[in-house]
Amino acid sequence: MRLYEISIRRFRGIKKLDWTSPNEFSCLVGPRDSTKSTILDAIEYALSPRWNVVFDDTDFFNLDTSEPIEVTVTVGEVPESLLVEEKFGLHLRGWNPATKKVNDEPEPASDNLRALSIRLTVDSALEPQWNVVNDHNEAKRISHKDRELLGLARLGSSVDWHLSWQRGSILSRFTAGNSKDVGSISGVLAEATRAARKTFTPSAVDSLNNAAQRTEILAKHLGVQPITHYQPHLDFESASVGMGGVTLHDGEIPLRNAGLGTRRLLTLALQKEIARAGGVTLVDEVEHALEPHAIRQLLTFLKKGSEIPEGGKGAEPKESARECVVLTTHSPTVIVELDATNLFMVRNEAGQTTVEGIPDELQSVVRIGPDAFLGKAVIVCEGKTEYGVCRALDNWWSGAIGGQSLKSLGLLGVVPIASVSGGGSEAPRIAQGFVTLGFRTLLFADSDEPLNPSEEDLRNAGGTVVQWQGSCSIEQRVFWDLPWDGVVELLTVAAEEKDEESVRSLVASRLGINATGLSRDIKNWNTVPEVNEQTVRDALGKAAKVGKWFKSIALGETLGNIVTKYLNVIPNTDLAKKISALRLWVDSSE
Amino acid sequence: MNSNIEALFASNRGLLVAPAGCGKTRLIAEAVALRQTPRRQLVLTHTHAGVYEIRKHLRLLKASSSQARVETISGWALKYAASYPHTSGLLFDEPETTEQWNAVHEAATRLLKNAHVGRVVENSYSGIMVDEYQDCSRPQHQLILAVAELLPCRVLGDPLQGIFDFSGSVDWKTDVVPNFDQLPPLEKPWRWEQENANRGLGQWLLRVREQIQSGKDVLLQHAPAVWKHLDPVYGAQAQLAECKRMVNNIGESVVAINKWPNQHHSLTSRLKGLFTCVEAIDCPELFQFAIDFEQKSGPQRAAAVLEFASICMTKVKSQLHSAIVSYSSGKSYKPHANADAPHFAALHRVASENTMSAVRPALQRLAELPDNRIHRRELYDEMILALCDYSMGTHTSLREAAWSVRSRTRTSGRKLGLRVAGSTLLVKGMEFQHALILDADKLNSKELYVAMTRGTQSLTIFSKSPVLRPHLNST
Repeated sequence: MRLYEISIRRFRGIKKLDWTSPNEFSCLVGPRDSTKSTILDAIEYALSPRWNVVFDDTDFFNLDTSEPIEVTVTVGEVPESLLVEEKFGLHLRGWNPATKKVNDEPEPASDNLRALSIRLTVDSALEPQWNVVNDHNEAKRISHKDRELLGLARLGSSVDWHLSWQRGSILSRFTAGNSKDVGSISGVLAEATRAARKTFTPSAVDSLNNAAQRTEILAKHLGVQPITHYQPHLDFESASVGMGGVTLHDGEIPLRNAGLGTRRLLTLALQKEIARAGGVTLVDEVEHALEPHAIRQLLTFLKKGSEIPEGGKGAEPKESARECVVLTTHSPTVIVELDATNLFMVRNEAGQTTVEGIPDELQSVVRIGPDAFLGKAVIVCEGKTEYGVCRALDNWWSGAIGGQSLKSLGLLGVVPIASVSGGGSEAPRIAQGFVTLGFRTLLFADSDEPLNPSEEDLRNAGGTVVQWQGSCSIEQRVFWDLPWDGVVELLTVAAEEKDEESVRSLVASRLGINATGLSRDIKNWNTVPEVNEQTVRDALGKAAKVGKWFKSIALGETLGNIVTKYLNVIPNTDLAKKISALRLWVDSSE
Repeated sequence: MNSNIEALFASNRGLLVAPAGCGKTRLIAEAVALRQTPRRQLVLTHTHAGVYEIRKHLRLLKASSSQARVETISGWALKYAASYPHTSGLLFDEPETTEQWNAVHEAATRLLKNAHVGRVVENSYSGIMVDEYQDCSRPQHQLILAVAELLPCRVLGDPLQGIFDFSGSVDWKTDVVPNFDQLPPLEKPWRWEQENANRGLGQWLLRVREQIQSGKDVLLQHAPAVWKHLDPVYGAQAQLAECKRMVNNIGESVVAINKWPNQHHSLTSRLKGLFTCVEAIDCPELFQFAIDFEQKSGPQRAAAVLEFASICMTKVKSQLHSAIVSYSSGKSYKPHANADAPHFAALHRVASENTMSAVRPALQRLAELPDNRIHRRELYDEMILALCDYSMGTHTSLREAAWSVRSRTRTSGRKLGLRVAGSTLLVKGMEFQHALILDADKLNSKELYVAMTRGTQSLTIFSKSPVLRPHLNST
């Protein structure tokens, strides 16, 4: 099966969605309440063979039942038996894979594929109707038996039910396949009941017996004669064990007691096994209850689209028809494991929902900053230093280091990421990528090199840019704006990390003096003869950059922590102002 | 029959010729019912009566519906062409004229060239069979050839019964024969082998067929058919007498065959309804009068009602002459005598009230006139049904109601009387116990063959001489 187009109207949180050309393997990504699961539910209801789906007013967008819910799924590679004249052979549509468009009638060219559009409609009477629709012929009802051939499987639901032999569960279906055993199963269960009764020895319990004997005496008063004697015993009704009472055990321990992750994986495997080959597989929150390596294993399993070999691992997997998978996730592990081409961002703005693929410029970002795709707003940091500074700022703002008590970045859904390449030249393009995807985006960058795309481009597109005044790097800005005590702290850190000698010589060379010209005590470096403090600060800033004194996340964070200590006393500096601007932007994320 | 079924399936493009009454329809049904194929057989014929016949045979053979799909060629073509109008190029979906129907078949042929749609046909059926192939139009023939590219195709027919013969019909020699493998024709005249049928007549008709096919004269002396001399002066009376004699065969079906429509209208009139007319499939008078009733008003409408009644019934023209004259000239009418007779009151209502609801009771009262007989029963019944339907309010015009009624009759089958009169065109394909050909000299070869093969027990022929020369009449 292939999904070519999905259109949703007025279903729960989705007023309107048109998603063209999902991949064979698609993963929907988006923040909480972006309607990812609603999309999955919609696909499930439209293609499911269930005829008893119950709808109510809350399934309508804004609870408005004046117009019907519509979910239209255009599919391809459906079983041939559905495409005969008496079924839907006269209702074919076409799919052009080059233009990614649905044609109302199938085009004759051989590379155009056949498609059917299946529409679920629910009106105010809450009756669901399933029809095959197009513009060239009348709509034709598609029965639940026909929908069964589409092979829709929703994995991961009803976990405990499937691990028992209750009626309708997968284990019971496996068992029913060997019908000659059914008789012997009943025999075994009947024996279990008899054995239970045998081992029940009420005579050992006095109070039970006494009550029985007392009743016998009282009965005789009214002329009721027991045939033998009254005694307590295990009743057949409560002792008998039916098939439903049989559940899967690991040795003596029922799997009911196993962790959710294990139960979920088992259920997923069972559901996949019975799913019709070549259908559509849906999994909501594929990572649910699973640790990262289990998630990876599960994704591999789903990607193969093949059945578990009967002999277990090592046996040859069976060939199966082409399958289609749609997942939802909010796990960075899943995002990192998948190809960027498999990921689709879901955005919902007052009911207008969009599903977008990841643009090329963000493909590498997916690997290194998956968290960003799960938030609402992104701070694209030019480098690791800026990233570390953001961490420090976050701690300071939220009060973790005795500062203020503003809302943390995490609470507001703001995610900082660092761009990959050392030079940071990619950062503006990455920021642009996020803006196109609909994220609130802020670019936090040095101003010593021109940005491409430019600051104006980014602002026009709807992004925000925070850059230092003048044309400088963060190191320069910090060394210019911090009070001398702060500068000394920074230098102390650098000297510790990088070794004081190299720091000293780097500074000295920048100042154009001998290393010995610098005071032994860092505190006094602003008292170099014939050099004013400003020049010293310049040199320090440049040296910091060249020497990569703070070029790591941890060191960036240290830098940030030092900065926050002094911000209150330097409110008029560019450093403080830009940091305030940053916070202003963060707060407007609400 | 089994060897015939084998023969039919021996070729994937077979043509089987079957003389009248040799069990062609039965063969088709048996071929479908008794031979298992992975998918259904598509069985196409020309008329709804034909579809009904085939389905009846399938039911008798207890065939399940998953073995065959029986439809008319036109219906099947329209279904496909209208489902994909952009690809087929079909611009309308309710064809009426011949040109429009030709366009439908052309559109369907075009559509089947689309690989995706072709695949639908291939996956839906294991083969196609077409009955009465001699009645195909050229566009229908092209369509069947297009289907034959996709499915094994077997066509059955009889060139000698192709009496439509207008310029658009398929030419057996140049169009049909070169495109199919000729299978051995059917030979046993089953129609005349039934219980109570005239076996000898059947055998003789096989020889007559050969004579007609080779352009020879047909000799009626010493034949199992009864020859009656058609006298120029007393012939008409003799014909009437013979028809009346047929009534003595109580409960047996009789057909009286003429060349022209007005001949059998006047025949049934003179027979006072002992025979009723077979109406044409499209029944044009039904629609003409439906339009008339609705468009006219007042006395003119009453005149139209009377006109309709007089063509359907025997006594209206003679008994109500003055009423007809009066209403036709736009004047109201009051009879001198019997003024409150129900039919006059009803006609008066039609003339004075503006509603259509007065029409039906008027016709019904007229039918009840003493000694009045309805000889064009089918036409009258259809009009009454149309008026009933129209009064329910579901149609916007009487003409539309008439169309709906006629469609229903066509699909669900017509009920003919026991004794009917019609032309060869109207009775072809039907079977009766007794056949009367009232003027054999006028019929051409094909018409004569069709007429002669309608009766299973007896055949009576009126002609000037016992030597018939159908080859002299143009087709």
